[in-house]
Amino acid sequence: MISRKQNQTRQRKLSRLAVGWLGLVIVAALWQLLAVTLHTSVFPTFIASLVAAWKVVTSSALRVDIIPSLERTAVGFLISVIIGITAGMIIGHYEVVRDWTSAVVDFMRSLPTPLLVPIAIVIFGINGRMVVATIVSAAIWPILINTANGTSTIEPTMIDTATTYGLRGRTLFWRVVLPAASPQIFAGLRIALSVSLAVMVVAEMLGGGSGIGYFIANAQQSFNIKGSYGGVIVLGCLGWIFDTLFLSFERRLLSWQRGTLGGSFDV
Amino acid sequence: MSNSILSIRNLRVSIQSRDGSLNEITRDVSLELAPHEFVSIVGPSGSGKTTLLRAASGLRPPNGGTVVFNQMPVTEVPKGLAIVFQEYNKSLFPWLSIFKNVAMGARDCSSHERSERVTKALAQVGLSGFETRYPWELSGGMQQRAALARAMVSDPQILMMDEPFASVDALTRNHLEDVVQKLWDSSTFSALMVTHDVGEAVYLSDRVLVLSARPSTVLAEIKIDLERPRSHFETKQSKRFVELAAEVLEKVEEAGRQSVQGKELI
Amino acid sequence: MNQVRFAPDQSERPLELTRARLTPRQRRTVRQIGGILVALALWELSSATGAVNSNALVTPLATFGGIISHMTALATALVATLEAWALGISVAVVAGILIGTLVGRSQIADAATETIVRMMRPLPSLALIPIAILIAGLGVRMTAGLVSFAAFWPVFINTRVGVRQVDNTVLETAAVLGLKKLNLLYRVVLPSASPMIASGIQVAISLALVVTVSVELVGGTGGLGEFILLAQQGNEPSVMFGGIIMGGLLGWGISRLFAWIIDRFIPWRTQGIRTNA
Repeated sequence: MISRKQNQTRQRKLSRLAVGWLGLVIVAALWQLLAVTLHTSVFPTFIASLVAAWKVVTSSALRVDIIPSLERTAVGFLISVIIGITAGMIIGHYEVVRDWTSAVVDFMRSLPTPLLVPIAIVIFGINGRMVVATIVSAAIWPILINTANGTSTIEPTMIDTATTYGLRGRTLFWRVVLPAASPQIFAGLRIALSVSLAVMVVAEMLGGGSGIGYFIANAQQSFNIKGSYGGVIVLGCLGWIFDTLFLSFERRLLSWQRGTLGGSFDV
Repeated sequence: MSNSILSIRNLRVSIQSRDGSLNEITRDVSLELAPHEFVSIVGPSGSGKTTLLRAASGLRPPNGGTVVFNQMPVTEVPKGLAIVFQEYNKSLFPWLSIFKNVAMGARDCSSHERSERVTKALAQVGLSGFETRYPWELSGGMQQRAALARAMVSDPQILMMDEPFASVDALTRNHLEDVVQKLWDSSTFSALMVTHDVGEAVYLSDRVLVLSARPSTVLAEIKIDLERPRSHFETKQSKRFVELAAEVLEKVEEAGRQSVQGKELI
Repeated sequence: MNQVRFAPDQSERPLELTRARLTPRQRRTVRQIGGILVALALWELSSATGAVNSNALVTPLATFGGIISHMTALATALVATLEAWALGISVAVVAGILIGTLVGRSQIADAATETIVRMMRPLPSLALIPIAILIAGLGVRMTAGLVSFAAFWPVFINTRVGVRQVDNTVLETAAVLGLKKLNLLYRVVLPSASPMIASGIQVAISLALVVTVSVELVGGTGGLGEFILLAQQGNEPSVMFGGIIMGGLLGWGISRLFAWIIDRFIPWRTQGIRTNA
C-alpha cells in the first residue's frame, strides 16, 4: 500500500518535472522562431546564442573574466556573511541596539546600491576591490536584517524551556538562539547571493576593468552581439548553479526543518 | 511550614503594558506545597495563571512577595524544578531528535548515565523506539509526552505544568492525565499545575486553588479527598468527584462573574 | 546578577519610570532619531579627520550644500527616475498578477513554468542592460521595459505561489456559498493570495529602483544615475553625495509608502508573515 502511494507521488513528481522542461523547450523554440522571422542582427537565434555561450566558456574569457567575477562574488559574499551575521545577532539580541540602529539600517537598505559605484570608483579605482566593496555594500543588508529578525523573534517558550534546563549566556546562544534563527538567516543568505551576482555585474559594467559584466558590456559596445548574449547565458547558468548548490547545502544543514523549499520571493 | 517544599507568600506580579503603564495581574497569592503533593491552580481565562507560574518558577521576578524553594529564595529557575509548557511545539527544539531533546533535562550527568536516564524516561511515557525521530514527526500527544520525559529526566523535586493538556484532543488528554498520574505515583516529586479545566484539576490533585479574576487573589481552596489511584472510568463517575467538580466550578464561575461585573470590561 | 536575564519590559524598574515618562514607542522614536544623529556625527568625524580619502568622502554639511546648489537639476533627475520606475513597475505588477493568477490556477501551466522560473529567478536582469540598449536604444521606453522585465518575476512568482496555496477550507467554504469562476477568483482567491502578492510587489519595487538607476548609470539615460555619474566625472564629490542621499531617501520613501498602503488595505497580512517565519 505504502510503496504504491510512494510510487504514485514519485510518478507525479517526474511528470511534473517533464512538463517543466517541456515549458523551457517551448520558450526556446519560440525564441528561435521569432529570431528567424525577425532576422535582425540585434536578436540572434537561440542556437546561435548557445554556441556563443560555449565559445565564451572555452575562450580566454574564462580565465580573464569569468574566474575573476566568481572570485569577487565569493569574497564579497563571504565578507557580507561575516559582518552581516555578527552585526545582525548583536542588533537582534539587544533591543537597545536595535532601536538605535533601525532608522539608519532602514535607510541603507533602501538605497539603490548601484548609485554607490561612482564613489567606490573614486575610493578604490577601477579594479576588483571596487567590485567587492560594492557587493558588500549591497549584500550585507538582507543578511543583517534577516539575522536580526530571526534572533529577536524567537518563541519565548523556547527561551523559557532552555532557561529551565540551565542553558545560560553563551550556551543558550549557540545551542538555542542560533539554531532557532537559522531558517531565517538562510533565507537572507539566499537573497544576498543573488544580490551579490546582480551588483557584481553592474559594478563590472561601470568599472570592473575585467569580469563577466565588463565582458557583456564590452561585447555590446564592440558590436559582438552574439558574444553579449553568450555572456548573459553563461551568467544565467552560473546563477542557477549557485542557487541550486545553495539550496542543497541548506537542505542538508536544515534537514530538521520541514518545507525549506521556499518557492517564493519572500524577504 | 518548614516541611513545605515550595512556599509562595503574598506574590504580586505586574506587567508593563504597551503604553508604559503597569498592569497588575496577580495581587496577592500565597500557597504552600508539601512534599509529594499535587496542587492545581484553576481560574477564569485572563486571571494570570501563566504569569503566576512564571514568577513561581523564577522565570521572571515578582513585583512583590517571596518564593522559597527548599528553604532558598528563588531568584532564577532553581535546580530540581522542571516545567512543562502548554505549547509542546514551541518547547521541544525542532532541530534536535527526541533523544537529544529529552537529554536536555540531564545536562550535567555523564553521557552514560544520561543515556540510561533518557531511555528509562522514554519508556515511562511510552515513547521507546522514537529516539531518533524529530518532534514534528510525532503527534501532539506524543510531543507532550516527550516534554514530560524531559522533565522526568532531570529528576525534579517539583514539576510545574502550565496548561499541559490544553492543546490536545479529549481522548489524548485523558491518556496524558494518566501518564502524569502514573509518573507522580511512582515517584516522589510535588506537582503544581495551572489549568482552566476543572475536571482535570479535580482528577489529578490533592488540593485545588481557585483564583479570582485579574488582579487575582486566592478565592477558594478545596481539598480533594478522592482515593488513589484514580481512573477515568470509576473516579470520574463517583458521586464525590461530581460534587467536588461542581464545587470548584461554582467558585470558578463566581470569579468569572466578578470579572464581568467589575471594571475589567475593557 | 541573574536579574539581567529577565526581560526588562516585564519588571517594574523605578529608575526607568522616574527618568522619563515615555511609552516604549516614544522611547524607540527618540532612540531612532539619536541613531541618525550619531551616524551623521560619525560621518562628519571620519571625513573631517581625513580618515578616508577626503577627495572621496565629504562631510554631511558639504553634502547638504551640494543638494542645495543643484536643487533644480536634482529635482529634474529625480522626476525622470521616478517616471521610468513608475512606468516599469506598473506594467510589471499588472502583468505579474494577471499571468501569475492564470498560471497558478492551472496545474499544467504551473508545471510548465517551473523550470523557466527556476532559471530566470537567479539571473541578474541587470546583465540584460547592454542587450536592452541594443534592441530598444537609449530612452525611457528601454529603461521602463527592462525595469518591468526585472520586476515582473517577483510579482509573478509570488502570485503563482499565493494562488496555488489558497487554503482548501477557504475554497470549499466559497463553493458552499455558491461562488463561481470570476466571482470566486475576485472575491476569494485573490484576497487570500494578497499577502503573498504584496510581499512580491514589495521586493519588486525596490528591485525596480535598482534596475532604473543601473540603466541610467550604464546607459547614461538621464535620471539620478546619470546625475551622479556626471558629478563624479566633473569631480564634484559633494554633488555626488547629494545625489546618493536623495536616492536613498527616494528608496526609503517608496518602501515606506508601500508598507503603509499594505497596512491599510491588507490588514490580515501579518498573519501570513507569522506562519511564514
